[in-house]
Amino acid sequence: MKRNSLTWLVAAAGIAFSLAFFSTYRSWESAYVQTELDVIGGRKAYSIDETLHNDFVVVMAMKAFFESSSRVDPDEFYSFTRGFLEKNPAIQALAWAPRVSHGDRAGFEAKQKEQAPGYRMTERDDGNGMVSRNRGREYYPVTLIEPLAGNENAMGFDMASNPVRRAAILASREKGEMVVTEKVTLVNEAENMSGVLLFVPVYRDPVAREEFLGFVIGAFRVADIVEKSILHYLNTETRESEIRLTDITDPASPEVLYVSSGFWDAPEFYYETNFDLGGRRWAIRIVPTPGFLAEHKSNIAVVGLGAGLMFTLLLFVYLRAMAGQSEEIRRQVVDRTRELSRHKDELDNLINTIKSGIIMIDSNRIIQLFNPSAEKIFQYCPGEVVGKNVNLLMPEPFHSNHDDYVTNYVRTGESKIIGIGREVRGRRKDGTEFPMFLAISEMKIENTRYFVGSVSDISHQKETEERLRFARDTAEKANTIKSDFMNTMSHELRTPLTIILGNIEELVDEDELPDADEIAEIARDCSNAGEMLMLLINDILDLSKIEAGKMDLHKEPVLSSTLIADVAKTASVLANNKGLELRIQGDEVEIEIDAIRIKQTLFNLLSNAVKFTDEGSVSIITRIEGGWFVITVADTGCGMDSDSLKYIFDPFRQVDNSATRKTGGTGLGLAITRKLVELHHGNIRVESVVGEGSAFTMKLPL
Amino acid sequence: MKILMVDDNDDIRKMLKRKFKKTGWEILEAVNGKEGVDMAFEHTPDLVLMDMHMPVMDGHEATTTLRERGYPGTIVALTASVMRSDTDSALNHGCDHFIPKPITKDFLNQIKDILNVE
Repeated sequence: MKRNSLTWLVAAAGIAFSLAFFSTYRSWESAYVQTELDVIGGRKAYSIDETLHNDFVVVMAMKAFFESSSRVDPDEFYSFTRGFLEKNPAIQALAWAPRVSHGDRAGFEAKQKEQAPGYRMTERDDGNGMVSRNRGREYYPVTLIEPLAGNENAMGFDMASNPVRRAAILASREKGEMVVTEKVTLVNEAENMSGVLLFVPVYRDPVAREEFLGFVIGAFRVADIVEKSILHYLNTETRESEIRLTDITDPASPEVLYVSSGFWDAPEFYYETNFDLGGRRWAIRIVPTPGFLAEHKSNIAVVGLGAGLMFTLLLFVYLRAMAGQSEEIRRQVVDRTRELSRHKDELDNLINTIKSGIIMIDSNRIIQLFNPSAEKIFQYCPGEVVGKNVNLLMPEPFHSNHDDYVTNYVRTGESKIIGIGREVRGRRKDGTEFPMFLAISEMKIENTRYFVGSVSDISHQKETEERLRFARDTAEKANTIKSDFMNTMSHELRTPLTIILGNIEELVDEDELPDADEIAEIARDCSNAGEMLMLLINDILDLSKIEAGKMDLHKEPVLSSTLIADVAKTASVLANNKGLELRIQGDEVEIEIDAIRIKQTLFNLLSNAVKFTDEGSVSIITRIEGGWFVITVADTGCGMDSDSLKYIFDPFRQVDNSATRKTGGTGLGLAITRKLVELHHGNIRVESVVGEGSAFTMKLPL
Repeated sequence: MKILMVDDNDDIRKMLKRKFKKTGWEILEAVNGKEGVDMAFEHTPDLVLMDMHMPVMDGHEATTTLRERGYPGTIVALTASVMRSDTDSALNHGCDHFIPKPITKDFLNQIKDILNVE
């Protein structure tokens, strides 16, 4: 709106200025035109005045001529006037009209007839003809007139017969001075040709103005006077002015004496002057021709005005357009600003809500931006790290090397991470480290270099990866173990089979049978091998049943003493065979177990103990410890080294195969034992010292 | 001919001895690799039947030792470990031949072929 009013103000100022220019230039120009016109008009008026004066001088000269001559005859008059008439063409006629009283009329007329037989005193009739003068008190008939040709009608015409002439005559007689008539129609002229007459009284004694004789009369056609006096102006190629001559003796009824053909009532510029002559006042008015105006009045004012207005209009339109444009620009700015603001809001929201940590630093490594997710990842409070060196987020050695690294990158462009992204270590506020994925991009804002890092805490990912790797390794290991197990099983099954098949071969050929003792021994060997196979197969089945989760326990309450006594009964036979002592001691408690399976495990432990013990004793010790029923089977045997202990509960892992073979063990006993204890939600462990003995401790929940 | 059997399993050795009985060859026995190595250098048998899984010193180590110390005779791996890796391993350690357990009816002929005798 403000701009709009400014536009209008400029427009108003432009118009005002244009008008002021127009007006000033106009008035200056008018003054110039008027001055020019004044010069021209003055010159013309002077010229007319001079012409009149010259012409009147002729009449005055004639007056003097008549004063000095007692009598003037036509010849003298002719020769006197001829030269003047030739030089002064504006003089229509020169005449002499003596005063004739009515008493002298007859004598006068008679006397004139002597010189000119047709002479008579006349006056104008109602038409345009001449008739004999009626009776009057005195008469002023024309007796001499030059040129005569063309003025024949004037000869004898009584000047006093006409009211206009008579008025002039009376005025002249009264003042004794020359008098100019008002406009008359000359006797020989058509109606429309204006003329004036000059009456100059002639006295016998001009000084005293006594003995009045008559009048010398000059007849002038006004047009001739004017046109003659301004002849050279009229002849110029460009007519500068038009002229009007008016008799304003009676201001109430001015009488136009002459008007030039192109005269117009130019209201703006005119030159007017008056001059008095012979008792009359004439006004001369000179107006410029349109041509003169066109020449002297440039259209600069109009052009200037037009140009000014046009300029103003253009300026106005331009300003309007500018205003419109600026309105458009303003609108666009508002729109763009709103849009930018919206973009900024979006960006802020994005940065504030994105799960990745966003960190922006400048090339001096100073943190410029640190979004909420970054704060969460590094466990800083809002605003705590902005303005600090970014290396506080890094553990050593990155913490110390980072400044050099960035400087080097800025100098050489050699990138270790920018534009690449990789796994690095981060340091939280409390100093703990964590794995993170860091992608860094570079950007420039107004020629300032910034680095933007996107950070994800990948601790969980790493843990998951670790778990998966562990699971995979475990699975692979399990697979290997299974494969090894199958190999070992194959080996263990082939061994008794080798004994059986190899021996049976000896009995195939009927003709070459060995002797009876030999056959019996072969049968015994085969039988032992077959039993071994049977044991193996049963153990394998047990183990796979447990591993497949298909081993069902039949739990029942059992007194610990009963359990131990049952096992000890069988084991004591083995011990006694080797000359070993079997010791039993412990607490009495009732436990809920699958008695058959637990007895199986205990027998396995006891038979192993006996197997690997050559002298000393085997002990079964029971006790209650916390919520557990604890059974320990200890021996004073060869013991095992720590390497062997690691695998003691794995299938087919035996310290000494030969011992197993001797005692018919399958190598699966301890594996099965552990599985069965675990099925009871218990556990089993072993302690051993090489050469001193081993102790297996089984814990079962009460 | 002189044959040395190295095997920790008594019944296996007994069975093999029965096989060789008719040939009239001299049969020597050792119960582990270490004993086998000692006997091989003491008696220089023409052929050693070497079990692989044995206590004290296993067949691989025994074979390697024999070859390192210049035993010139034939060594035949006789084992229940019959995977491809086991075969390769035995041959790599210096065995000349490989016979899987259980043995077949042709066992004696296999040995005779190896020894190139009737």
